[in-house]
Amino acid sequence: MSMLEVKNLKKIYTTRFGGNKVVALQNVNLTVEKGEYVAIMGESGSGKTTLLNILATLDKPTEGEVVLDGRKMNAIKDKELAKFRRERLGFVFQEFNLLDNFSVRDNIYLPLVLTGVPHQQMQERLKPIAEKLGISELLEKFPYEISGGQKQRVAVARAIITNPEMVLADEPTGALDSRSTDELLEQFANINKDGQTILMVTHSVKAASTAGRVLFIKDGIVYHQIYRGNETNSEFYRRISDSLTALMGDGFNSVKD
Amino acid sequence: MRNIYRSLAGNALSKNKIVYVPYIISAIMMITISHVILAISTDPVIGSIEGGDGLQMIMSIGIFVMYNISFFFLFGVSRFVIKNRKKELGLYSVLGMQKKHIIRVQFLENLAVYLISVASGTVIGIVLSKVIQLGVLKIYHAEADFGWSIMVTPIFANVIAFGAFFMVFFIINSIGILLSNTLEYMKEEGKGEKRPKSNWILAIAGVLLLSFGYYLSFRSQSATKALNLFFFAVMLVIFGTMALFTAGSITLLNALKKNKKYYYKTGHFISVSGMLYRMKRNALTLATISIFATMVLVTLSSVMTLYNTVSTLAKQWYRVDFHLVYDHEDPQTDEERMAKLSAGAEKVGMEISNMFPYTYYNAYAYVTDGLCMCYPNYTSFDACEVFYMSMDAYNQANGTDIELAENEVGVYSLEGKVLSGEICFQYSNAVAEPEGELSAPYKIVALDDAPTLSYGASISLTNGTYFFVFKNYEQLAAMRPYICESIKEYDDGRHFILINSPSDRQTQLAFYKDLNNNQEEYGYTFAYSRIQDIDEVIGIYGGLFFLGIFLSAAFLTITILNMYFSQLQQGYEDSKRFAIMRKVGLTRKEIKKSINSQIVIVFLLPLLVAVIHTMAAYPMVNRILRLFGGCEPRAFLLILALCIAVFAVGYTIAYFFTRRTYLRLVSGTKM
Ligand SMILES: Nc1ncnc2c1ncn2[C@@H]1O[C@H](COP(=O)(O)OP(=O)(O)OP(=O)(O)O)[C@@H](O)[C@H]1O
Ligand SMILES: [Mg+2]
Repeated sequence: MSMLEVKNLKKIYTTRFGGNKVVALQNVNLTVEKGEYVAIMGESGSGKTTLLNILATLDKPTEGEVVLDGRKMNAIKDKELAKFRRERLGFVFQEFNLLDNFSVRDNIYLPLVLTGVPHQQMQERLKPIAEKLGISELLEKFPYEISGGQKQRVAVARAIITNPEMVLADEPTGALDSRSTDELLEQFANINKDGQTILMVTHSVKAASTAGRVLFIKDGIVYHQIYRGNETNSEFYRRISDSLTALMGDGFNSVKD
Repeated sequence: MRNIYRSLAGNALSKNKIVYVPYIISAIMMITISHVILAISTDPVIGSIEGGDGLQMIMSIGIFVMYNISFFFLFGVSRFVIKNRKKELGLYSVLGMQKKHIIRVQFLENLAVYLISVASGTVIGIVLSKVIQLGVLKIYHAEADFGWSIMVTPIFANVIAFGAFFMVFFIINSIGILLSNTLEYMKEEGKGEKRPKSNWILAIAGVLLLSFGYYLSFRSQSATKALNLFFFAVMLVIFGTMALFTAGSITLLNALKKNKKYYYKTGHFISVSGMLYRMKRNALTLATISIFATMVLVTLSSVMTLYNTVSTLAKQWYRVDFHLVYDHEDPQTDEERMAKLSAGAEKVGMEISNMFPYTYYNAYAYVTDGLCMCYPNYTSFDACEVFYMSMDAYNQANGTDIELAENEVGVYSLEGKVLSGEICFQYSNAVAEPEGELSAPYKIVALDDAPTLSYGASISLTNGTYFFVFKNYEQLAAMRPYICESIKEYDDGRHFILINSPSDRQTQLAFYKDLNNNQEEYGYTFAYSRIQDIDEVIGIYGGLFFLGIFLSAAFLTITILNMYFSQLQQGYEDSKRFAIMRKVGLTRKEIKKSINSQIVIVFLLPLLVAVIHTMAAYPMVNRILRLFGGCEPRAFLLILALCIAVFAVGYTIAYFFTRRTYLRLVSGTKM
């Protein structure tokens, strides 16, 4: 059975005063298998965050349905949704969403505390993750005392500490330098190897080239996707680049580092 | 250009309704209350009535308090308003507005708030003070004047005072704007707060101060000691409360946080860290509210108790309508005196139902079980005031017919103290080494009723008041050596003529006036009229009572508004936090539960502390109240309970109101 199935997904934002309607997603169909590593690319405003939010059950679609692990999401109550979210999904937000009155450590512990994991176990889980992400030194600091890139890594640590079945990451490398990016991508590759499903929105071709599949979104439609097959990262990198130029036109300014 | 500022200012007012509306409302309330106090203290109509000047004097102290409160409260609110608008102001400046332009917009906003609140406050104040004037006139049995004479003094005073207040706020806020740079401005709102740090020393100091304050109250022995120490104890409790709320709460929460097993549990995790920041931010406000609330409760209940006891006591003591005191040097006989009084009463058309002479001795003494030791001059407040009289006089004045044996003494204690068994009497020049002869023992017979003996309200600064009644005048005279040395004034005791009259108050007051005008003729030293004195007592205590209720209402309003603002501010920040927690997987129900428990704690804490403080203050206040006319402990407790109940109800309503606003704010953002 597939991990995620999205059928005829449509999302229309209505501005507060009724008037303008923004079609953020129109008719998105998507299937993600268990253990897949999918990158989502598309220009700014194309609906990537909207899609991720709906997949993460943070937002409700206007039409269509999301089936996560065999369960229809629109039929689930708020209480169960919250439980589902904290136990099985890990979400890295585009704007980090760290709590300013918790230390970095407590921010990362938050989902574990909500699930009732014993303190001893929290420490054991945090140690390797913090080392890998290079934030061991920052644990006692507060979010306003660390840089944007550091915040992003903390947000990643918070998303993966629960060993979620699926990680949804919205531009997790957006604020990182190339070394931190490499470390983060390696971390993602590792957890993917362990069987966790990853969906990652990115503007970086390099980041996308570590995935097994790349989806291209434009104006709220998934209109192209390419699979890695047996290619190496650099071969896949070139193919993604080519697709981007072909599909999006030269105007698309992706990061081709 | 000018129009742009005006529209920017107007825009800001309407866009920031949620902060400006309560700001304006609080300003209006402060101005209204001040207006009423000013109006009462300068109203010539109230000033002209009996006892009205007492009320006016108390009220003019009240306006001082009120202006102080208004200034600090409104200043706090204006800071809050500015703080919430920093981002917007920062944006203006990023968009190229100069600081002086921002200050100009600020000025217009302040001016608008000032004008709106002064205008509305004055109008409401005028109406309210008229209503209160009528009420006061009714309390004082004076003729009500229903005309509208608008007084200018309160309006002027308020326009100037509040104008100055708003000017000061504006200047301070402008300095703040001038000193800050744009980036800081933009950051101000989202700026992380400093980590709340534990402070064991201050926390322990708080506990010690508070315990010592409580100890003083519980251990206060005598009324005078209580009065001397009261202010000190209040200070201890105020500082203790401040220290406990600020350092104590944070130290406690940090300790909880250090306990990992406790802290990393769903409920505790969010509440402890939430409370930590909540307390850091609100501790001082909460401490102030607790102290305010305690003051309100203590003052209100004391004043109500005083009013209650004094007015009943006054009526109880004054069981005769007129009371004249004659010096031993006055040569007239009782018959001559009474004849003159009858004639005088007839002159003003006052009827006399009965009139009789009366005698008693009066001294200061230490009264213990079995001994009443008199001594010459009372230098210590620990002494009791004692009265000696004969049963004949007692029966005649009280309309009773109690009979005593030669070896019996009737005893009545004004404070309800019980003496039993036998008692001896002694006179001594030195208290430490009793030297006088001891009288034969007398068997104590408890009297149910205070003797009629009236000279002014019973405001005596002593440790108690006892009456000893002997079989007859001969026996009383025989007691003289045990009561005083041969001081001339007391040789024959003091002589009184008591008069009762069925006539109305106007006639009685006319007779009193006649007595005053012709003192030489009548030959008395002091004359008292029941109606006159009760009016005076009600004037003083009624004024206190009125001011107490009025200021309490004002305090309660201020407390509630204060709470509302602090929660409003919290709501803004929490809404972002809760939105994040929701994204991470907290259910709506869990969030609501956490919010509820935190708000309940924040709300309940000051109320709880205030009630505990009040209870702790009770023994001390009770003793002090005895100095001012005594009070029945049960009545005091009852009134205290009533005040707490009223306060709690007002507070609870405010809680639900605030919670609603808070929840609306918090859930307003997408969860
Ligand atoms: N809450 C909202 N209300 C109204 N319109 C919205 C809302 N959120 C997003 N939109 C609109 O929906 C469209 C898709 O937005 P979305 O955030 O999904 O873009 P994105 O692909 O994540 O862009 P970026 O790469 O810049 O993050 C945009 O046109 C955006 O303006
Ligand atoms: Mg986005």
